[in-house]
Amino acid sequence: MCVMLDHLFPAGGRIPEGASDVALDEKLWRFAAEQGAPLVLAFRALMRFWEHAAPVLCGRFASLSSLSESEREHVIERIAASRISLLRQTVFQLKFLGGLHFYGEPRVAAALGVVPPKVAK
Amino acid sequence: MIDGAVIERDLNETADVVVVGTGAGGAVAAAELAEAGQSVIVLEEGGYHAGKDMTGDPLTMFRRLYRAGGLTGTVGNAAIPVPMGACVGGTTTINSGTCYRAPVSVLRDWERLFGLRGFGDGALDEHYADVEKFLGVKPVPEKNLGRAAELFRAGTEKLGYAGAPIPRNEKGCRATGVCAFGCPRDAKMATHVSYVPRAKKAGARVFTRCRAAAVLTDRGRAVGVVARFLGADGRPTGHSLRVLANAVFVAAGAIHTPALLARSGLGGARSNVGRHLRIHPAVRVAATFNEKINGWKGVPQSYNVHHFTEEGIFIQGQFAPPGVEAVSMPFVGRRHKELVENYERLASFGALISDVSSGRVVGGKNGEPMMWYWMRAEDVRKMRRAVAITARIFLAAGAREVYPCVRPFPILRTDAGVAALERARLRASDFEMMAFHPMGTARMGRDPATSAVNPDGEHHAARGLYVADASLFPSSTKVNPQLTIMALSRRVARNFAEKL
Repeated sequence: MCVMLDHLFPAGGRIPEGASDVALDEKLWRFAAEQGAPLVLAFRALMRFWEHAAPVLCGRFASLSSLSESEREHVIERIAASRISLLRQTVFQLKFLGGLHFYGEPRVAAALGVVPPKVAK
Repeated sequence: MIDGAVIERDLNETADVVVVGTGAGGAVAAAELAEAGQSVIVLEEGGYHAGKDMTGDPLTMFRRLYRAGGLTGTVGNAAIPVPMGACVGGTTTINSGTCYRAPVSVLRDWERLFGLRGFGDGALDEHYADVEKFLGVKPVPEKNLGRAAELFRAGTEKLGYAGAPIPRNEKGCRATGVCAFGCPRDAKMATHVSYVPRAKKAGARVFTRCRAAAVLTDRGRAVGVVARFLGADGRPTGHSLRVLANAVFVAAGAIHTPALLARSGLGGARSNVGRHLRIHPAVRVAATFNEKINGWKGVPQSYNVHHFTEEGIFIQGQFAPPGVEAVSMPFVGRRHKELVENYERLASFGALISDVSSGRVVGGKNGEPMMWYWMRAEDVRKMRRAVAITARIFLAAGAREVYPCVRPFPILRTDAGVAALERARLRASDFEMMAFHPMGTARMGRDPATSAVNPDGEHHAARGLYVADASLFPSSTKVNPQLTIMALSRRVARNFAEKL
């Protein structure tokens, strides 16, 4: 999960923080646990797919975590742009849930220039 | 309001009418029935949250206000998220407050094809007018439009299209920009601050965290509802509520109403219950400009283009906090993050289509029902056109890049690029869609062969059982359905009360 999230939300640029800086993997596992067992199982299945199946689909016969950084990036980008919707969904779901937590971080939002609404009456 | 989470025994109650749901349909029916002198019990699966509980933080509010934390969606040839409210106020608590009457052409079709007499000649007008007056429906004032809407309006006018500020149900909106996560100021006239208090004032009793398990019937007549109390975590507490009543109004929304009817033995292959699901699929089209937009300032859904409504295309403003908005930007990793860094310059509109495709609601016996939806080629083409029009308007407004959320076209920069998108052979799954308006799953009509309930909203096979939500719609409304749900619910409740 950590490897994937670091690629989806890398550190650097105008938003200095990356996924690891905001403990995104912990947040996602906690979120899944709160939602219930089916989401935890789905996350586990998704991680297995990424670790073992995704590299093979892209012609790399090794686990994702054993690939070099540029090779991992290549695998993730290829799956993200796949013509097959189901494959794209494996990226999109993680990007959606990860992004919800990552960009929802007050310091990340602040780096984007967002001023939160004054909600107090 | 009685919180089901704290009830520690089984309860038995009686009432003239039991209403399931407190959203646009249930709350209006409860208020009308209670004011007509009926003793009313209202059951709501979610909890009660007022403005002081609305933090504006998507993660917190997804958990608090949305069904399944916002993770509900269709299964079919495209995975389409369909978020729904699960709280007092239902989806009115988490929508943008947009209030449109259904176009006359739609109501005429309902009259012609489904025998809904008078619908094409203004039969709903008095109901629409009453709801609009009570909710304070009015166009978004200029000061709350936001810069994105101003630019989009300029692009719309440049291309000669018709558009206008959106009419909304609000009293004292301060444009906090978080409508979809509950109004922190209670300015949006969602039903938890409008019709539910009105129903309570007229004597209705509301049970929250109380999930309707089945409608009770006896010899072809609805006689009550059995419900289960839920804890604050959403899990059953083990205690139940049994309400015996002369009539049952089901308004659990177009996904959970048919599921409840099916659980109660009132579905079946020939009943039309759960069939004909329409959802108004929508695609978010974003664009960056050279100037700062600060999209979080202003009413997110403040301006619409209604030039193409009759052909089933409706384009509306939208914007959400970064946790929701930023993830729709294309690519992954560094390329994605670089685009998100222009967040201050980002504007976003939704291209929505009135679908002719239809789906089904299946299952739901022991949990969430499943939404099966297969988008037909006709709707895929319509969606392609809707996205192209939205992109053209953005470019005409001066956008430097447009992000249409269509797989082969991550970024558009020129009209030629838009033209290429318009010519492309696309599949439903090429669009990153969402849908916000499920409807039509217990549609009304004269003929039991083509509808589930009669024109008064009463189930064809169960007397005393009324449907009063978007399930009633015989077809897509072409515009946001809240006002039509409310008008229909008022009509169903009033017709029922007049017959007593």
